[in-house]
Amino acid sequence: MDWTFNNDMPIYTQLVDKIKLSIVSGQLPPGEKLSTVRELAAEAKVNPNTMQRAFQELEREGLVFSQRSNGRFVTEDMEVIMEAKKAMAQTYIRSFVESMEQLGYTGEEIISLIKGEKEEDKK
Amino acid sequence: MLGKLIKHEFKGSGRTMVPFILVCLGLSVLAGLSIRGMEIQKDYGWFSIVFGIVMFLFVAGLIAVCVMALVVCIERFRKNLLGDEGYLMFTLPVSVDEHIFAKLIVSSVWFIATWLVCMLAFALMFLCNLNLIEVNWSEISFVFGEIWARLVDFGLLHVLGYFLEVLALVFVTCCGTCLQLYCAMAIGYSFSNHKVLLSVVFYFVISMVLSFIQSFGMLFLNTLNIQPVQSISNAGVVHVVLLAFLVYMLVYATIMYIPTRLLLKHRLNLP
Amino acid sequence: MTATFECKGLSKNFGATQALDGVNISIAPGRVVGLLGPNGSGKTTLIKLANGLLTPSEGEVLICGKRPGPESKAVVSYLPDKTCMPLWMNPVQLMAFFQDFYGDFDRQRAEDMLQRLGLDKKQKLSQMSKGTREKVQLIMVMSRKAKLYLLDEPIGGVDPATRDYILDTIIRNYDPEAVVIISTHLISDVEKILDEVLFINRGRIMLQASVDDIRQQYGKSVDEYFREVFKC
Repeated sequence: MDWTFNNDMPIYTQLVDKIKLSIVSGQLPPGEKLSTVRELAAEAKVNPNTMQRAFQELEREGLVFSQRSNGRFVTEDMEVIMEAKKAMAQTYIRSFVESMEQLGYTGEEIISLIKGEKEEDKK
Repeated sequence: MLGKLIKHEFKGSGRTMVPFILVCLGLSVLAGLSIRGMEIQKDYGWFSIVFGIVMFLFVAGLIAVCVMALVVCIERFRKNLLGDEGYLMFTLPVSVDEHIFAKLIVSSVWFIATWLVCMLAFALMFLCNLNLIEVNWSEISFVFGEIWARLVDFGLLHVLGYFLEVLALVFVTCCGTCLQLYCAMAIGYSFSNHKVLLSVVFYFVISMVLSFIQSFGMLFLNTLNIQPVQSISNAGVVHVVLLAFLVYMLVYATIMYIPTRLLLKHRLNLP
Repeated sequence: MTATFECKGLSKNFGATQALDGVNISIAPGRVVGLLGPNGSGKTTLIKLANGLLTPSEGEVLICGKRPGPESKAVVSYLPDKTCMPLWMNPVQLMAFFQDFYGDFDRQRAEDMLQRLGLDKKQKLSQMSKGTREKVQLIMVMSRKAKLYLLDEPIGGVDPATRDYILDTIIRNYDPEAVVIISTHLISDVEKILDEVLFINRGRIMLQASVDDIRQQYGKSVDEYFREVFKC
C-alpha cells in the first residue's frame, strides 16, 4: 500500500480511503485477515490511535469485522464491498464532473470526450 | 539507591584515582630500591642522577595523588551534578540528599585513602630498603611488646575510644571540607554567568565568615572562663576535647550541607 | 482516571523573564503529543519542570498525580536536548547504569536497537560523533517501559534516515498506558505520529487539539497551520 498523505484532510480518513481502496480492488480479498493495528501503524508510520480510529470507521461501515481473539478480517459480504465500490466511484465521478464543468464542458461533451479517450487507449 | 550511587561514584572517580595511586606505590618501590642502590654503588656517578630523578618523581607522585583527590572531589561534583551530566543524574529516581551523600562519602574515602597511600608509600620505600637478614627480629618484637604493655597500662578501652574518635573526626572533617567546596559551587553555579569565578569567590567568602565566627566564638569561650573539672582524669580530658572537636565539625558540616541541598533542589541551573 | 501529565496554573520566571505563564495541560494515558512552538517559547522550561530540574514559581506539575520527585522520576523517561551521558562510558556501561537505577529498563530492547543501528557497544561515547551519541542516548531512553516519555528535540540533530528510525521506534514501542511528549519545531516530520498537539508561545498554551481535528477544521496540515499561527 502507498502510505503518502495529503495535507488538507484528516489522516484517519485518508487511511480509511486507502484501506477501502485495497478492499474494493481485491488487493485485500474478502475474508482476508488484516495485520494488527500496531503493525499497520508502523508500516504507515502513523500513530496507532489514528490507525485504530480508521479501523473503527471501517467496522462501522461493515467493510471489516473483528473477532475477539483472532483479529480483524475483511468482510465476506460481497454486497457491502460492491456498495462501497460504487460509493467510491460516485465520489470520483462527482469530483471529476465538477472539474470538467469548471472547464466549461456540458454533460454530453464530457461523455463523448471520455469515449474518445477510451478509443485512443485501444489503439 | 544510595548504595548504587556510591558504587557508580567509585567507578567514575576510581578511573582517575586508581592509576594515580598505583603509580605512587610503584614509585615508592622504585625509590626504596634506588636508595638501596646508592648504598651498594661505590662510585656515585650516573646513578646519583637516576636516584635524584626517582626521588623527585616519588615526592611529586605523593603530592599529585593528594592534589588529585581534591581535584576529583571538585570535578565530580561540578561535572557530574552541575554540568551536562546533571541532566542524567538529577532525573534518576533518587533524592538530592542521596546525591550529596554519595559524592561526600566517596570523596572522603578518597581523601583518607590518599593519606593511607602516602603512609604505605613510605613504608614500602623503607621495606625495600631493609636488609632483611640484618634485622634483629627479637628486638622488634620486644619494642612492640613494650608498646602493647604501655597501652594496657593506660587502658585499652581509652585507646580504642581515641582511635574511633580520631577516625570519626577525620571522616567528618573530610566531609566538612568537601561540603564547603560543594556549597560554594552550588552557590556559584546557581548564577547564569561566571559560574566558576563566583564559586571561587564564594568559597573564600564562606571561609572568611567562618574564621570570623570562629574567632568570635573563641573570645566568647574565653570570657566564660571555664575551669577544668577536677573529677575528670587526664585521659578523660582528651576524650572531651576530641568529642568537642567532633561536635564542632559536625555543626560545620551541617551548616554547609543545608544551603547545598536547598540550592540543588530548588535553584538548580543546568547549562 | 488520573491524567499521566498535568499542569495546573504552572508559571516559571527567571528574574524578570516570564518563561511560563499560567499553563494548564492535562494528558490522558496512551497519547502521543507534540509540544510545538517557536524557539524560546517555553518548551524546554516546561519539560525541565516536569523532570524536577526546575522548581515552579507558581502552580504545579503532576506526573500520574504526583509532584516531581524520586517516585515520579522512576516512571519518567527523559531525553534532554543535549548529550548528558558520561562521555567516558561505552554503551555496555551505560546499559548497566540504566539497569541499576531503572527497574523498567529493558536490556534486550536496548541491545536490539544498538545492533539494528549498527553501533559499536564497546566504543566510548567520547569517540563517537555527535549524531551517534544522540542515537545511543535515544536508545537508552526508549528502552525503558516508562509511563511518560519526555523527548526534547529528539530528531533535531540526526540525519533523515535515523529520523525515520526514531519515529518508527516511537510507534513500535507504543504502549496504551504511556504518554509520549515530543517537543520539536520540525512539525511535518512528526505530524503523522501525533494524536494531539500543544501550541506554545511566549510561555502560554495557545491550543490543545487533535491533529485530525486541525486538519478537518482548517483543511490544512498542522505544519501549515502552525506556520500561519506563528507567522512573523
